Amino acid sequence: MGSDRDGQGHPHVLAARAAVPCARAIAVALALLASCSANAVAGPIKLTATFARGATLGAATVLDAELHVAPRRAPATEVRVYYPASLGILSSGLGLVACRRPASDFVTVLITAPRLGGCSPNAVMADGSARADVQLSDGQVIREFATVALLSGAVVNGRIGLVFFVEGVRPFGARLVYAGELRPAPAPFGGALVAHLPAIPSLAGTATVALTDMRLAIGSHTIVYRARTGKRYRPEGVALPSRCPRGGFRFRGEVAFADGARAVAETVVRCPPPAGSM
Amino acid sequence: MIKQGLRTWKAAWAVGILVGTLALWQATVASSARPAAQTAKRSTLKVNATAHLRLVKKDGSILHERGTVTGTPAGTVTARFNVSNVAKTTGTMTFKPYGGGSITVTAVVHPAGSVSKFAGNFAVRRGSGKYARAVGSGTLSGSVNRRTWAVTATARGTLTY
Repeated sequence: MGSDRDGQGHPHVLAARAAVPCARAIAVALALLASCSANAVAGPIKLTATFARGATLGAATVLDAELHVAPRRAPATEVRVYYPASLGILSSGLGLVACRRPASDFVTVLITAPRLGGCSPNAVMADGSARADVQLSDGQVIREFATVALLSGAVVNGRIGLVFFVEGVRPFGARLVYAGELRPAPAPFGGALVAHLPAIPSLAGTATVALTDMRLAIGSHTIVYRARTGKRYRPEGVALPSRCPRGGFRFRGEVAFADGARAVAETVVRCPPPAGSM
Repeated sequence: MIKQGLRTWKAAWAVGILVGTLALWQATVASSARPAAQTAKRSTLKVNATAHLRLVKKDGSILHERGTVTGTPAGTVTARFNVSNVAKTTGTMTFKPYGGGSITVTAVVHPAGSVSKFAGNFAVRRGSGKYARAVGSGTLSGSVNRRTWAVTATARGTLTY
């Protein structure tokens, strides 16, 4: 009786019992895979995020975020990178002043302006690089390499604006400007860095520009601000909390394409060690 | 003899009813007077204070601050701000007026025109000492030095305690 009630000796129970360690093994293997790769790939985009070497909990660091977009027919029109709520993006020392560009710049995209569009270096939040496929009307595709600077923009309707300056390095040397913003995000995210990537009107019928890679180092060591006294200093980077969020720091990338398609990728950054443990 | 006994009974009843009525009246008067007395004790304060806070500790998107308050009521203040949400900053501020007691308020503010300026509202959450039963609300506005995280906040509203 007892063994019947316990289900011992029944083939399906034996199978189920055998399946439990198997399922555990699979779960452990999947968890290991997830923790090892830390780069989730879902569809045509891939997101990678890392903290600078030597980062510790409770201290400021550099956040490196890299997005790869697989070549498609339709170019990306909007990129969003969601970051964890506990991550101090707003509580960093980045983006002390706002970069204000005329709204027409974000429509024409191609601009003729000095470096950073004449905006203060104290607005720079991140620097990085980008790659784009420039598809000419004859079908030829040319890969363009560029540098990117992310600046804090004006606050409009309570929303903090962002300005993305893209400077072509080779083979073209165009200077582009894109609008963006810091958007609220559902938990466990604190917000999202959004970049709007409209088509370039002056290239209509001649070429399309499709983003394939973008790397941003938020709070990069190369960012230098100038205090009111004229003294140069390095602004404090992204503030890490003293405790790690459960499961690590989760990021999500979302890309919208001109053909209406959307792609999502997530990644989890493992917890850096607490301060004083290194 | 019987008549005399009845008279005594009647008198006793009359006295009993009178005493009972008096007691009831007294109780009614007392109970109705109590809230009035309590209401009379409550005071309303027009809050017009400016807090000067400095950063004590930064923990990711949580800022712990401390400072002084000038105006009404004047005293000291400790605060905890959560800046994780890009659309709004939430916070808890505990004021300790120099006259004693404490008032804890919750605040929700939004960027106002620039990342270093904010505006929003506060509401009294709890109190202690003479502010134990405090209620109130008002507006909050100010600025923040994004390099040092020094905050200057002006609160205007009413406080009933």
